[in-house]
Amino acid sequence: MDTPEIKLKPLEFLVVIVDMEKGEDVSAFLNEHGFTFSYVSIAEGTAPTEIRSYWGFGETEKSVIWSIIPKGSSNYVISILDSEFEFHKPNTGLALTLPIKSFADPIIASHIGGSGDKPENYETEGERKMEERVYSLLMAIVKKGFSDEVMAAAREAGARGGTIMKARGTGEHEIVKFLGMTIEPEKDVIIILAKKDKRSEIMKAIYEKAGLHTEGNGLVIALPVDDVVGSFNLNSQLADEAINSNSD
Amino acid sequence: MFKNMAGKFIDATVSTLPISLSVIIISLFFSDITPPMYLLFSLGSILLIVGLALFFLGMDLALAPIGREIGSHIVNKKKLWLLLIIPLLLGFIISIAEPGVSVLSGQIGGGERNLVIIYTIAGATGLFLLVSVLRIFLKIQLRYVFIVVYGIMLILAAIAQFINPDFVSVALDSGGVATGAITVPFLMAFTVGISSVAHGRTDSEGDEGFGTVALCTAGPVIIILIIALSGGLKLQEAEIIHDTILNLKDILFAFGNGFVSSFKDVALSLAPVVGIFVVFQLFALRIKKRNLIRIIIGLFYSYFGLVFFLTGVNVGFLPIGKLLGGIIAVSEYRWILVPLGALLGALIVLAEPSVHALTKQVNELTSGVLSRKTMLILLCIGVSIAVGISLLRVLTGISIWWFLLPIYGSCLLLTFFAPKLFTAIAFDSGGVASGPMTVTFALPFVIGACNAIGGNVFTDAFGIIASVTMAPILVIMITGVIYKVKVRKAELESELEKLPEVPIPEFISEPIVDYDSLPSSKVVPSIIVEFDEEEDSSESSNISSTAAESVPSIIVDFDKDDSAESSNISLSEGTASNIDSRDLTKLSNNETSSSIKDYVSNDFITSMDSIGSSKDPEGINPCDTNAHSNMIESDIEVQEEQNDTTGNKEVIQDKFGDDIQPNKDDLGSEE
Repeated sequence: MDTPEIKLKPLEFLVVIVDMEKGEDVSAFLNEHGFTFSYVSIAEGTAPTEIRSYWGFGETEKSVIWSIIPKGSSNYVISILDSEFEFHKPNTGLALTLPIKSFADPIIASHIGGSGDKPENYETEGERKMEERVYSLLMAIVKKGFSDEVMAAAREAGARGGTIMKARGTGEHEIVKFLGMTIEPEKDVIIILAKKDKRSEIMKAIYEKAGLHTEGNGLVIALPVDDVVGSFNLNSQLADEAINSNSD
Repeated sequence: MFKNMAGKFIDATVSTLPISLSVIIISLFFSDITPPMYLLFSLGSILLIVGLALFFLGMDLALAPIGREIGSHIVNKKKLWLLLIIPLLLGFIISIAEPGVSVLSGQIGGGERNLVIIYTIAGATGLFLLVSVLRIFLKIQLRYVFIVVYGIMLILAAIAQFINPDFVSVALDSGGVATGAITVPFLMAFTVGISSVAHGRTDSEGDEGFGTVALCTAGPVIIILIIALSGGLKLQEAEIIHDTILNLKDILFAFGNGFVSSFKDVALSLAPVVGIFVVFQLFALRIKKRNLIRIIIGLFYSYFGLVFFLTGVNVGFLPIGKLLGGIIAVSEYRWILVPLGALLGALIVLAEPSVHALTKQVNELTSGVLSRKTMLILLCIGVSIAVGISLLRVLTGISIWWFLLPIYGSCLLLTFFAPKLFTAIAFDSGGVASGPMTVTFALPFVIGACNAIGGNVFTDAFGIIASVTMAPILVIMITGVIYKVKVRKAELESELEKLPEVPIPEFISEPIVDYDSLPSSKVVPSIIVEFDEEEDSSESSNISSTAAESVPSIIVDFDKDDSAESSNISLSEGTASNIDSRDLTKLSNNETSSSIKDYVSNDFITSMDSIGSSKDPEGINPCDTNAHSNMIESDIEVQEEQNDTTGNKEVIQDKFGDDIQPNKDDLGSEE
């Protein structure tokens, strides 16, 4: 141990989804607490039911905030976000953290969470084991316009809502040149939070309706979620546990 | 529950209430405004709120998606003739039915609707829509296009000034009139549709989605000036007739009439959009059922929204505007017209339907850098200045050139200093800010004042739309320059400060930190257990060979599975993106590759958890399970152990079956 006082903090990826107006508040809040690397992008929340989406009652504009936080403080950050923005109430938003395996530039690790009021020893959490991870973040990437199919399939399989972000395909086989312009196909990225036991079913449903073999030409992946808070999980026992541990 | 619907109504109310309340408060000071007028105006305001809310919904559900789909479709088709013909046709068909254009043709063509003028304006819109599309593909910077087009416009206007000064204001106004409530969101979405698939320049700063409205505003001005110079214009003041409102019956009658004419006008102007959509849907787009339903419902929203809005504004706002302008102008405090006009100007722009489309688009395309609020404030300042200027001109009778030349001159000059994106947004917002509210409230207000004072309506009162078109451009251009200076300053400062020096641990020799390959002693102790340091990264290079046999997934299987090879199905690479649907069906229909069929039918999803947990947890570092299931590479180890003992597909299927047990407490059941 040549430099015992310098240790690398493991990092965690924080994702917060809120109504568009609150996006700046959230990133300001994170900044205040010393989590300076945060990025905001624009997304669209899906309607709770299909009928409502036809009438335009339900799609809402969302901000998605991405940030990097120390892994040990994941639970702490989620709980302060919850107490500030009341994510446990319906229709407020959603915050979750994903594990990070590796990152570039060690300066980042030394700078995150450096300032702001924090309780002593707030970085206490270790990494969860896979069994402890109750939720997964499903990410479906489909051709633009097929997010409806994806959401319809996911709803049938038990998902409640999703968030749609616009993207462009840049795969080499997809890019075509025309009059000197690059033509990149538009894609929809749909992110859905799913409980472990529903996950496979939802993924299967999405695969069948909009997988690579269909016109939607889609792809579904699942990412492990460490901590999560949102109004969706109030009833379930596991969520109660999560909330209890948050308030500790 | 109906959060979005409520949101639209709140939007609409917030947009409309300020102007309604201030008009009522101002009216209280003047006894000439009778109670029936208040009733008329209040009913008009309510119609305005309902109409705007519905129209906002319709714009989001139908008008914008249709424009976008058609735009990206003609690029995706990669046919040059489509790219040339479609914009011409779209611009022509849409503006030929624009109610503003036909009213304008009556005003400047000598009374009746003048078909020649209507066709020329429509042709000009088509032509300049084509220019706007071509400049994206020819990679011409927007500032040069603007300098040429607006330069021509100013030169023609200067020539017209010597022939007949009346033409100048009227011609400049016509640009704002030609881009109406349906044209603007549709054309903007059309351009965004094109630019969202086509990428040429890297230095465009995202300005490719803008510029269309600016060009389609300037186009008709140029054409009308040319007609004026060739002697084809006979100006005739349009009579804004309104009956004296005495009782409830008159009010009902007024609204009845208003509804009838709005029903007709809106049907006329929406018809081309619907027609174009139907043709495209039948022959080209083939939008899926769900989207189609939404677009059809959205078209109904747009129609009724616009009917309510136009009725409210024509019946409720127009008479009181003209009356107020006249009353204040003859009162002893007529100097108050200028600040009052500025106030009303700031508020009317909030209630313009197309402003909503612009602010939404700007917010989306700049990823929130220029938020809706910022855009609205800038537009308010701009239109406020514009209406103030117009009333100053009415009171003093000074020429429009005192404002026209300096404002457009500095705007064009600033294009060299402002960021490109701001330039594009600024010129577009000019055409957007002058919509039905300006035409039916601000214009009558100024005409009323002008008539009362006894000025020349053509030279003094007209020109307000031209002012409303140009003032926001200047405001946004100046904001752009300030923004650029600030960003540069911030960059300089951050270069000086940078991040405070933090000692970087010596054991990190390269910029990429991988926890898996770090010695455990170097990571914060409390979390040490998580990091599987014994795992060697070189192992991951062996994945492909073992993965094929062990991981029963559609995607990983294909290239390596033996049976696939024997049936001569060649898939060069295993990456998901390379598998197209034909290959997939071919595979699943292939009788010889029965194992693949099994996989296809049973194991769609490679569940990392099931694989990970299928491993006996005893005797292994518990944190391993976790690490392995995180990454597909790390699963391989597990699979290797299992390969010799059993076909692990069964194991996984078991796990799979467990996984999909329905759970009542879960996400889906709670509503």
